[in-house]
Amino acid sequence: MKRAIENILWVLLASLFILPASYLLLLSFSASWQFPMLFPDVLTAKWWVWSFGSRFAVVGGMGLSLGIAAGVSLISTLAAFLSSRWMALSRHRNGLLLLAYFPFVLSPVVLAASIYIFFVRLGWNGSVAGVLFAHFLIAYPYAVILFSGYWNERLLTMDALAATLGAGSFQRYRRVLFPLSRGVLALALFQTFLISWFEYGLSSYIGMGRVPVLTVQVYRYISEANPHMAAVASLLLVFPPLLMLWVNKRFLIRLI
Amino acid sequence: MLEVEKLKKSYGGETVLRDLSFSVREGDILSILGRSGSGKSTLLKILAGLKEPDDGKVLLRGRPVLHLPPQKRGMVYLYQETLLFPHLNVFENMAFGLRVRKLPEKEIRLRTEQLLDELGISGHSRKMPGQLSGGQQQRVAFGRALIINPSMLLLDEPFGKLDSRTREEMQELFMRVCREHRISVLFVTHDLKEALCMGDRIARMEEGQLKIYARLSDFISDAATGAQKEMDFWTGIREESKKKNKER
Repeated sequence: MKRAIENILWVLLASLFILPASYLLLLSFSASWQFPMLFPDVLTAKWWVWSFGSRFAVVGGMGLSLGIAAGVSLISTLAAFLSSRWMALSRHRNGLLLLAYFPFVLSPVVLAASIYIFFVRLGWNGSVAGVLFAHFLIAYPYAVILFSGYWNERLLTMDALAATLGAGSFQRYRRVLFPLSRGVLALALFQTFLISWFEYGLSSYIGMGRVPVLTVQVYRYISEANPHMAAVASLLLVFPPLLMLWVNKRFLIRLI
Repeated sequence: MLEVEKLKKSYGGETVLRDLSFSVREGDILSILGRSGSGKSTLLKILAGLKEPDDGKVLLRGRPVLHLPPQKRGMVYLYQETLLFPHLNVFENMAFGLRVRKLPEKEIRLRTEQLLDELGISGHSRKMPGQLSGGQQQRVAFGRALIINPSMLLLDEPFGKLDSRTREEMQELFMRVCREHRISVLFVTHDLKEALCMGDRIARMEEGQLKIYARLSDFISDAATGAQKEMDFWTGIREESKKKNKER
């Protein structure tokens, strides 16, 4: 009985993801799908073919999103790892940690509105570099918060011991701190990638529509009443995180 | 070899080191006794470069070292815990100091294998730290410090977590190797017997100052060390045991 309930719960939970994904998949292959038909009357691959063409820059947008998310994830994880170590040794640790929560208290869109003027003055609005930097502004504090509890006494003592054994700062990171922190680094890379990958507000506001990342494209197709291309873009949006989750599943599940 | 002059350190108004001065000769082992919180670890950490003093001078072979970062002082600080790097096997843990100095692979292999042999752990070189006993881990930690020929070893109760038998073995090994390699050592311990066995000289830390005893008899006769009380206790036990045996 207990096992049957567990199985039903598992199926229900799986359906929460599988049903919307299946619907999107059908929509992305349908030429016409009239109410009250349960399935599309005509199937076509033209939306997918078009997404690779120049008319709709969906695949190009995916590449752009991938590049920005990978860059944001690498830079913010590395910067947060270094600065959180410094914070752990600082007398002002709690105050600095409080500052890291600020972008999330404001919400990313309010943050975008408040910093927009600086991006205009610097000429970064509407550019890939501007969007990347805007994503960094929320991914970096997130990673700092993630690492804030990581620097325990044992790790800091091991770092100090490595220093007395002759290792300089770079050598300590390379030979001791990075190898010991592989798990938490992988988790931070994954999480900051997701933050950047799914970010819409900042991408739209700072990018001014000139940086066509996938999230911006999904909303554009929805507002243009083009559900088929919106479905294609949505599926492409879900695919890389799923792939990363599958590749890292053993590592990440062990961390949880 | 090591000269410490008027070292001062306070934490939030509480003075931990008060104009502390002493010197250690080349190849000398100085045992330092003291209560918890007396500033023994702070002294070692300042010497290692892991903490900054408020004032004072530290000279190593006549050269000031307080401005140097830990990696350039040549003084290795060993903690009570072995702190072996868990991602490296025994060989790589031992070779750590040579690898960061970027020595040729052949030399690293030769020196590490020699020391593994000297410390009696050559059969464990491919094992990971978690697969070793407490004594074996201590040998690796000791070897990892020794392999770089440090100017000085700073030991902060290194055998505190070992059982009594392993502790004695380690004390003997440590004494033999330090004598052979002529390494100068500051040895901090709570254990009176260990301080007496290990040190060429004995010092006691109290109220932020270090009192070094020129002779063993001076140490025993100072009531504050508790040495005389300890001896009286064991003498009393022996007398009582003899008396009981006679009565039987």
